[in-house]
Amino acid sequence: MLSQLVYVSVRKSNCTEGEIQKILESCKKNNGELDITGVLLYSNTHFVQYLEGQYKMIIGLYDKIKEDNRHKNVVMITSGPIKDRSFPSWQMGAKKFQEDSIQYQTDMSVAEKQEFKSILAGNSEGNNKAVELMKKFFK
Amino acid sequence: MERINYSFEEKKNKLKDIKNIDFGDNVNEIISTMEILLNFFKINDDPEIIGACKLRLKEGVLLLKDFGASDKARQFYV
Repeated sequence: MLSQLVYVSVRKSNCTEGEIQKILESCKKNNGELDITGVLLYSNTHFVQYLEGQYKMIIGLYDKIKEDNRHKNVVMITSGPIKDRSFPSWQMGAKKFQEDSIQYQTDMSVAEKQEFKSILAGNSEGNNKAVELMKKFFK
Repeated sequence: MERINYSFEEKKNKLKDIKNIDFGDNVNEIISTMEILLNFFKINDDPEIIGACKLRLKEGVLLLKDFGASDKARQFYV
């Protein structure tokens, strides 16, 4: 069944910009084979990733992602069925954001900016909002 | 067609994630980890998730005290 999964994690200091490029290259290579699409948002301290695909595939990938030594404290914000993909042509879109200037990078309102910050802190309330806010970075 | 019990699966994964949380080895890392746990504690209404968060929060409070940050630990008393 087509499903989605969002998690947040804390970027470790050993995860340089070069390591991020390696992550993205491996996503592009592996996600195509698994028919997984999605986006990765990252700041100097956090990752937020949205995955979409068949449930077994994304949950299997999530288990592997959790073992990656370049981040820690991986927590699932939401998972559930979806009708259609939000990022059908993105094997893994990525964008770096500055946590202290989100409003200049998107058209988020002040309230949405606060919501996004609370998601980064593991807030899973109103979980569909997480996906909606992530889309704003890729408009 | 496969049937997936999403709420059961999500709960199972959240419990696993909480159990695997690593506090880090300095006060700032412990505090940011505790903030994640506190958010999870406040938001979730499942007794098992709440219990798991409470347990890890208590563990973090003791760690903060060990680091001499008892004042900062107070905000995480649940």
